[in-house]
Amino acid sequence: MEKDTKLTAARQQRVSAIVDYALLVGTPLAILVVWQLLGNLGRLNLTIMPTPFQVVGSFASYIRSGMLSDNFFTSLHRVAFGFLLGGGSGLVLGIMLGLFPKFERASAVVLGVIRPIPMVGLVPLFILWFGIGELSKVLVIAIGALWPVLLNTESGIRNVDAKHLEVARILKKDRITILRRIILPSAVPSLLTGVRLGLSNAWRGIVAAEMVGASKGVGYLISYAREMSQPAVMFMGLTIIGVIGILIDILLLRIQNRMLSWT
Amino acid sequence: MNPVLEIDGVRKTFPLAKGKLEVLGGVSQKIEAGSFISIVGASGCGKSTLLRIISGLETATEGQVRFHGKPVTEPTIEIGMIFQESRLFPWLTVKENIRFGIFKPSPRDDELVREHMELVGLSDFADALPKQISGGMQQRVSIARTLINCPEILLLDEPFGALDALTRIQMQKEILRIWQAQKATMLLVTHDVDEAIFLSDRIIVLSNRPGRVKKCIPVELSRPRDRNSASFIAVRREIYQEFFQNSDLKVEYYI
Repeated sequence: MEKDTKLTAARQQRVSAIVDYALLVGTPLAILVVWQLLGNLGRLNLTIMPTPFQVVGSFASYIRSGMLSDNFFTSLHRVAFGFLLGGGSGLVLGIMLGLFPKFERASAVVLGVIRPIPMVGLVPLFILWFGIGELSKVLVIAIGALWPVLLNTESGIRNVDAKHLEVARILKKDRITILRRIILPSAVPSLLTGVRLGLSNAWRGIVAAEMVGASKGVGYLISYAREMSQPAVMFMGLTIIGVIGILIDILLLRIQNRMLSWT
Repeated sequence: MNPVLEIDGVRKTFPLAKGKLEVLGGVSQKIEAGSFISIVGASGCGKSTLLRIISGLETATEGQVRFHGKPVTEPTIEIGMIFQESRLFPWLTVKENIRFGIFKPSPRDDELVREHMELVGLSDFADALPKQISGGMQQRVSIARTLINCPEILLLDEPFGALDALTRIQMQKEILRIWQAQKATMLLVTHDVDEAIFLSDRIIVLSNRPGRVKKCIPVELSRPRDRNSASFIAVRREIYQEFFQNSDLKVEYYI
């Protein structure tokens, strides 16, 4: 009977949703449980591989002493400044490269050669030029943010639909209007992708940036933990990087979806 | 005869990687104000290129197009154009897209936008995004956007080509109604012979590349025209004759 098949279909959908959720949450939980059990059973070399409880313990003590927020916010500030600096420059450069072909030709070789150099590779150079202070760290992060924003913005500007530009010509629109109301809005999707990738890179660069001469920060904690043979602290640091990283990405994705409701 | 538009010996050649491609081989026509003219021809005969030259988007290699006696070298607000794609801005609503068309801002703008939305029958969709409306509706927004400046001449480059057959017929009736309301001069490029016969005062048949005027066929039937009437069919046969040289082939089917 039709009513029965409708019920079964709805029930099937609910079951499949529950299964999806179980997989999503259950798998990581299962991993943690197995990991902890291995530790309890003495199957882990605790000098290099802590148990989940030990990592939680590190969290607890660092939170209690206030050191967690201290280090975390130090890193967060560096990433924020670096991202604004690098992302902002990338935005401006990307727009200029997209709009002015002569500028693009002039800078193609220089940019092309610098681009493949990873953030980590630039750390020694910045230390040489700027010492081991805050500036070097912020610059390393800025470079990480610069490239995705620059490349995606340039691409977004260049790939404006020529058909839209023809409409503007037919309607006798002036160049400022074309830039403001056609080129830039068209480029927003690419731009947002660039920003998302740039911020993700910026956050990822914290470890490289804090490798030398840092006395605070999440990346610093990781290096410090290695030196002091405190694997639990190291894992704590890595966990923070991973979790915050994914949270940033989810947040930006939400913003992107809301801004691009027209696509 | 009051020619608002004169096409005078227009030729167009495109340079290729090797050699050149002559798309238009010399087209001359006089277009009277307020008339509805169609240009038909096979693919590649240069009809769209001709329209683009009239619009000012492209320039002729030889010859010129004159609008009220003055040569057309670049687009002008008095000559509007509608393309095969609606070319709406996806980030703007229907209302905002139409508003974008306005050349000279004035305090009447809101009213103008409202009037033109009503003209094309989309008042209920003012705040919809292009992705939320159908192809036919998008094309109507495009028409409103172009008409908001009340251009003297409206160029239509296969405007209904991307629509399904039923919507196309509906849109043909719409464009007829709009033409009779606005009294602009209409120049329509189409490969749909029936569309041309249904709408036009005169049909210009272009030869294959390089395009030249093969024949001008006046259509003196009263509107609205019955697509199944004997005179309609006679015009259709006359046009098809131009494309199918074999004269014992009696054309009895549509393409």
